[in-house]
Amino acid sequence: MKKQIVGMVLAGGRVDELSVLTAKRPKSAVPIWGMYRFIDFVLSNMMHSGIDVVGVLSQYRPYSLNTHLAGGAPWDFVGRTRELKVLSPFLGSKDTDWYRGTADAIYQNLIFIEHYSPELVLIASADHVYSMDYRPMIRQHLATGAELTLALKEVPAHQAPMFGTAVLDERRRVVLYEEKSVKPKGNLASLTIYVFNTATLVERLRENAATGTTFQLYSEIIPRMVAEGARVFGYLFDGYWQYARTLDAYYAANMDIIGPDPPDLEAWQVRTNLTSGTLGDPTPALFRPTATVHSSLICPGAWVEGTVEASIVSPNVVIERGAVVRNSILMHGCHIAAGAFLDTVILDKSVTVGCNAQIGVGPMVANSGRADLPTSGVTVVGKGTTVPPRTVIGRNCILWPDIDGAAFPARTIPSATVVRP
Amino acid sequence: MRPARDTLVMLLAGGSGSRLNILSSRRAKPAVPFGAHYRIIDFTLSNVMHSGLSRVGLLTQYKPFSLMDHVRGGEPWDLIGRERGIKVLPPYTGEKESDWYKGTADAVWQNLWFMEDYRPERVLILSGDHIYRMDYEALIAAHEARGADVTIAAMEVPWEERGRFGVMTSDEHGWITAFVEKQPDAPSNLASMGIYVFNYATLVAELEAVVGGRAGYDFGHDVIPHMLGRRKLLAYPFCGYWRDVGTISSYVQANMDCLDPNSGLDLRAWNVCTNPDQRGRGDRPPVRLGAQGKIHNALVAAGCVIEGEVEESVLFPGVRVARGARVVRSVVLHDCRIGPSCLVTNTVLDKEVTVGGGARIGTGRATTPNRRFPTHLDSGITVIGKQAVIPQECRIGTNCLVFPSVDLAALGISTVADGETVDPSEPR
Repeated sequence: MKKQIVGMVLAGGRVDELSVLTAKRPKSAVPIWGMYRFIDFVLSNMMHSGIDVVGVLSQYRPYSLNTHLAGGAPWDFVGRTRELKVLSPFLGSKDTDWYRGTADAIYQNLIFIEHYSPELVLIASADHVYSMDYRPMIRQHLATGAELTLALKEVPAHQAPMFGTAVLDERRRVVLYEEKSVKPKGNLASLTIYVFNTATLVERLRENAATGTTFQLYSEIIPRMVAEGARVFGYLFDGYWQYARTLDAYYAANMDIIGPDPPDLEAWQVRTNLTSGTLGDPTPALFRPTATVHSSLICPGAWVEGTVEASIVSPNVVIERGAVVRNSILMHGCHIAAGAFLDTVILDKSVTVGCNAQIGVGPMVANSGRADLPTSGVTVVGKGTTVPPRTVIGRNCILWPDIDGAAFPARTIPSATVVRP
Repeated sequence: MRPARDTLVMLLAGGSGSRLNILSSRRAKPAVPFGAHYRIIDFTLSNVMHSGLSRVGLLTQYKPFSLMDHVRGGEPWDLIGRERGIKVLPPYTGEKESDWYKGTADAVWQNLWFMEDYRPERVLILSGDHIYRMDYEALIAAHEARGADVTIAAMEVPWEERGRFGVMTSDEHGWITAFVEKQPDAPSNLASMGIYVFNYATLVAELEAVVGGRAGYDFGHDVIPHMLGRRKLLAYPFCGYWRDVGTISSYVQANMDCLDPNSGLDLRAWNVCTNPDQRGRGDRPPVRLGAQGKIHNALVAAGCVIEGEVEESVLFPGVRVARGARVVRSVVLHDCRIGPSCLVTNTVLDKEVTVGGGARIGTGRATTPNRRFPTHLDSGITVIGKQAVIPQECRIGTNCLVFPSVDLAALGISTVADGETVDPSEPR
């Protein structure tokens, strides 16, 4: 079976910054914008760009991700000539090899790529939110005779040190590439979207497997290719592209969708799997006569009796009468009982908030430099936790998953507190 | 033994639903959209799925394209697999003549070859026209336990409506002693729901005698009366929510029942499954409410953008309600565009209708029935056909009908009086 291009999705990384949201799932499986997960964006982009053979590299707690991917059917990757394969680490002939890095993960799965003998391999991270037609990038790659093309986006200079950055010549050839430099010379950030000639990729991966230390595409293979004068080009992208390395950034990226200039989801045509883990389908959103809702995003299966302002409400969330939800993100299956009050809160899936409980109230307390706590005032409640009735929880708090209501430590949780089971 | 496993379902989905007028002019009644993102047939197919039934023949006849597109291979109802499946059974040309289905029994009889492939113990005959939740497994279990030849699901209807149904009389054990089809003076109000469990051998023998003998072609009219006194006919009582949404007013009312927690129609508890991905439209984003948006008592499907006010209404995917517009007690199908400062009340908008700014629809007196279709539109509801264009500041009264694809501006029409119809094929 011959394909012109094969997609490889980097989906396995654990990102500690997302704290309790990544306690049980890789970042690529973290929900965003109500009914999507991060990985939906790269898969939808590949689907719309005509890439129909996709390998997903995953090693950190892949259960949630695998359930969501459902063999690729939601993205139409099922058929005689189409495929989505989750590529997990496996036992080699010599030793158990966990993926040592992104380059190593692809190296260990070259058999998947070689099966399709593609001319090109598109490698993209599953951790970013954007809509991009990869075809113009592929056309530029072929037209320039590049061995590698990187997608780049201009970012403000103060953000540049957080990225791999490139400097281009007038023909868009990369003349300098720096990975997370303290004082980068360029402000074109790499979006972790790479088009490789397959022959180049295979050769570079073999070499890296023997000589590498980090086994990362971005810190070893790409800088070395640029340094050696390989034909590496930049493709400029200027659309919406967002990421989240902290809970504060995750909250902000979510809020973009109900902000003043939101991405046009209708135009993006993002696909997701709404039925994973449930026998039935969500009903349409139901707004009861007591509902007051504005400036919000409300998903199918939501059942609203209370007040919702500037919030994102995921499928199968119930908000009872008299409850008030403001500036908050409620993931799938949360239940907000009557009279509860939430302001600037992230609830992971299946959180229950008892009646008249209050979350995100009280004075803004600086979290005294603790890196594990948010700073923007957002309080985060982990998956499946039950907040008992009349509990009062402050700002910048983190509550771990699966805290049983009966075992709740206190009726009042002050701001900047971590609660573990 | 799970009786459901040895039962073949024959689902009659060929009805034209003519009293739904233009809503069913281009689609079979089971394919008519309902409840913000379902179609009518989803309720029956979900019942089939939740009852553990896995083999279905789908009998189509009238404009089956939307229906076939929707049902696809049956995946949304888990009807795909080695021992699971749904097969579309359209009418076909026989050796001697071209045979359109002449009635419900004829449709099943003409597909005897399909049933012979499976040689089931029993056949469950259903129609795709109704909104209800029923456990067919319990029905089949009752049929088996009582040793009936045929079991007919039955429910009591208001006495004044009994003439619309097949009506039966049963003894104290539930055995049916009389059955009359659609008679206004029927002696009972126990109505047949058109749901039959037949022993397979009984079904084949009775169809052969009645349909094969050209004595009749319909279960209610012909086959069931022919069995009376000779076979064991059991009535299976049902008392939940069940609606034949065969008229415009019952269609709107049943949609409104989705909003009423006391109506008995509970979409959540029923766990209705549908095909969300018909015709490759892609997934719709969540409902977006603007700063001025207000929604009270409404069922709203994905992809809607609400900048105005929505009250007591059912909105299908992709509807946009502009700022200052109000949608009240209406059913709005996919991708309608409702312009700023409009008022749409007591109206059904079929798919992709465009309503210009400041237009008012459905704001007249309900006492004037539609002149051309007085029996279809007499309850104060206005119906606007698919892809019609309503210009800015247009006035459309109640009980009005605007045909599909009509552009009122192009016709120079700015007012449609109560009870009027706009049909471009008809001389004005």
